[in-house]
Amino acid sequence: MASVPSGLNYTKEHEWVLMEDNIATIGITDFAQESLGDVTYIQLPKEGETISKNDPFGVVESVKAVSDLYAPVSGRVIEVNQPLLDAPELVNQDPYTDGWMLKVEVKDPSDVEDLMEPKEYKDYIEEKG
Amino acid sequence: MNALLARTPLYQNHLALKARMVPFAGYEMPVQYQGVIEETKACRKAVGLFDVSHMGQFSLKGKNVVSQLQKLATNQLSKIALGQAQYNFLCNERGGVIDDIIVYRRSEDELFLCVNASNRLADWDWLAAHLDKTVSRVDLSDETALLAVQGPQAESLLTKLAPQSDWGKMGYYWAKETSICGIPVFASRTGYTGEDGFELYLKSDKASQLWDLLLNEGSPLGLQPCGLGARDTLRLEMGYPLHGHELSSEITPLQAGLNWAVKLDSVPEFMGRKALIQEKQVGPRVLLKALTVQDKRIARQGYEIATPDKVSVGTISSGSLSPHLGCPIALGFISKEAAHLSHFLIKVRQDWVPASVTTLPFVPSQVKKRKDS
Repeated sequence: MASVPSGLNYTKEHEWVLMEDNIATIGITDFAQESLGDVTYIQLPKEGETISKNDPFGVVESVKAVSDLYAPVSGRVIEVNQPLLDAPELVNQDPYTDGWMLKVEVKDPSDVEDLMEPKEYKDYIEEKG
Repeated sequence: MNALLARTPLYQNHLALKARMVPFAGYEMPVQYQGVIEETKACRKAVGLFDVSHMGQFSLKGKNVVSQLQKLATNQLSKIALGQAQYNFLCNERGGVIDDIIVYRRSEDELFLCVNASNRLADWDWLAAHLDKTVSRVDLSDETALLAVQGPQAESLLTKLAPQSDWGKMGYYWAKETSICGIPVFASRTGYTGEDGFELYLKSDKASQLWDLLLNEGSPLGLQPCGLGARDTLRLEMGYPLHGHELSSEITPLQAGLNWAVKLDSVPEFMGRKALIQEKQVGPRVLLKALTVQDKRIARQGYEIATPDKVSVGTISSGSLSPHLGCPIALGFISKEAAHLSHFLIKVRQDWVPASVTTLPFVPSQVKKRKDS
């Protein structure tokens, strides 16, 4: 069973969000990295760029598939995980810690209100099989 | 899960190993267990175990079986000795490939065919339409399982399990009836990985048992079960074609660079020969090239290939990451006017990434070493 840590919010597209004040750390879930298989390439926005809630902001590629990454919140990118870009397989090993993707200064903290709680997301992925 | 998908006899074995199952050619097949990259490395380093029971097997019998099948096959069937195997194409009138198959001479009047799962029905109908009544045909696919054991430890593993079978004496592309722990198998020194190895044909009801024997005996040697993902990466590293990518009813063997299995001179008549002779004379309009990609992004089937000036000249047919080379590799068809170039650009989503032409195989083949029979 894929791991779903508490303290995070989750999206239907299998991203997780950690909110600390108005800074959101974003990544993809254990379920996502399992489904993708060996990740070979990640494309993320640069620091200073803005991302827009529900719009694609990047790409994650595995041997077998290409997937868009969707913004769970709107805001300005303040940090990107460069070690991850150099070693994309980190996201398979550690999707919630070393595999974090970017930090965003969120304009409107209520952006997270429609995201899923851990229990909701657990049920959601259980349904998906 | 889709109730209309078929399952091989190893289905429960795959679930027990926590394989990720996907639909392929109408079957529910394992795409990976531990991961495509890890499995690919394990096969080249030690030994990989593959369930390829979805593939089709036909038995053709009759005193004229060789001359009858020769009407449809591009390689020279009369050269197949008893116990030998040969790679062949079944072509249509245009020289396009209906399927690429392996033909075994099992006895004086019996040929055994191994065909692609996705083309099994089309192949069957094609043979039915063209072989005369002197040839009896049986579709053995549903009662036949097929396990592939591939890697430098393959021979050691089989010798451990069945020391009396003299695996060392089997030459590349030779086959024989033997048994492993009391399970009868038709063993063939063939494969789709470029490693030394064997493909084991056996009755479906014994497949699960043989799988477990190989798994248990092979684990100390470094054996890993390998899914279709690893199988695709391994064959791509060798430049082996996959029907539906490098071959199809609209692609000829000459375009795919597989002239060696098309005996235009030594076989006077076979389906597609006229079209292929004509194509050879004018030169195929596209040619398959091997490319290494200077980027981290994988060039996938359908991606556009262009000259450094961004003039469109072709399309990628297959692509993956090569664990051996540490970069993406690809095969693609390029129009003959541009086929002499050594550098291209490939369109990956919105960007152009550079690629260089290389010679096949991407990874050194280990099979030639065994050609001693």
